[in-house]
Amino acid sequence: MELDDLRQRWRQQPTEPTPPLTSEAMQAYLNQAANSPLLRIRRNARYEAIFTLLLLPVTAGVLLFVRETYPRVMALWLMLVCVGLLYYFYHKLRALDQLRPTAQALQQQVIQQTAGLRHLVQIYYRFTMLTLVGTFGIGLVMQALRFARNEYGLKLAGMLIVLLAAYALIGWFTYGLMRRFTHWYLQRLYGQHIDRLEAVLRELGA
Amino acid sequence: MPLDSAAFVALINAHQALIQRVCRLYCQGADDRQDLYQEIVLQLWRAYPHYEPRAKVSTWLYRVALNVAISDLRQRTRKPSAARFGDTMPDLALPLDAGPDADDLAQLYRAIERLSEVEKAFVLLYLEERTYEEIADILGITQNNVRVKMHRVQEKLRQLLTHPA
Repeated sequence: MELDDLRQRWRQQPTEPTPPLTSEAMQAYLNQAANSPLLRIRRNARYEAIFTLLLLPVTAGVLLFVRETYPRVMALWLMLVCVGLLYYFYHKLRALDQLRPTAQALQQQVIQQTAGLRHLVQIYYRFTMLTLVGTFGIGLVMQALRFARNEYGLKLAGMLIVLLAAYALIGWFTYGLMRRFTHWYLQRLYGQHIDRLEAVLRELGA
Repeated sequence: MPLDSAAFVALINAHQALIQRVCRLYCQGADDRQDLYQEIVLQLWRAYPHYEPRAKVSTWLYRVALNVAISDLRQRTRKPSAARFGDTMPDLALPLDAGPDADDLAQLYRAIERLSEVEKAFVLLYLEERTYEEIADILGITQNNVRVKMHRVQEKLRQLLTHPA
């Protein structure tokens, strides 16, 4: 039997008995949809964004009312991280919006979804690595300044070399670890879906 | 729900069979089919405010339905069809009154079951007697591409029928 034979009877085949849709049933569908994976991810992203927003006045408070330099520098850094996170959440919510199936042609829909997710993954990865480098950099500078306040001459130079070596070693190790973890995490989070979408695009001949 | 929900409900009821046929091709189990049906209706509801009555309603329905079936994130959570495929007859597609050529039909359904999601879209639209122009419009590719891909899918089906795994 060929596809043409099936074509002749395809639309005549009986379908599963489904009760006609009513406004009440539609409302029930909408209520159930609140628990869909996409909406749950969206809801979580919104909560994370709100939490990040709430952190901003806390960091501002530290900046305004604390006298010591180290907490103030870290608060400033945390504030920058929060701003970066908000930028990430903005893109995350946009990408999640794009994941909703629309009435676009399949290829357009998949291209848009893939681009949105790729962009999101890129932001997340860069932001994570930048945050790590920044945190280590600040820690190094602050520690070096602390040494410089108490020590002089050769002893200070020795301590700075040891400090630099320790930071370089731990930084290199942590960077590598974080890089792997971030790759794994992103692959787990979005990678499989992106791979699937890319396979669809390849098949459509894009 | 907004006021035009009655019109939407009427539209869905008028095209219920079309949506069910999409679900039939993409899902094996009754639960998955019901799940997909519900999701398609939901996404149609979300797309409804942007629906232009000038556009062909079937194109709009196929676009949303296929987008849900193929590209939806929740698709990840649905059981892959290959996992259910085996020597057993698929429980989804074979109609109860398959007739004297039931075995041939079952074999064809098994072959279709082994196609990729995109290939299934071509099969579906072919079975639904859509023109190449409409298929191109639904999938967002050129008519020439549709012709080439359709030919390849039919060829693949023939191979699957002659060399069933």
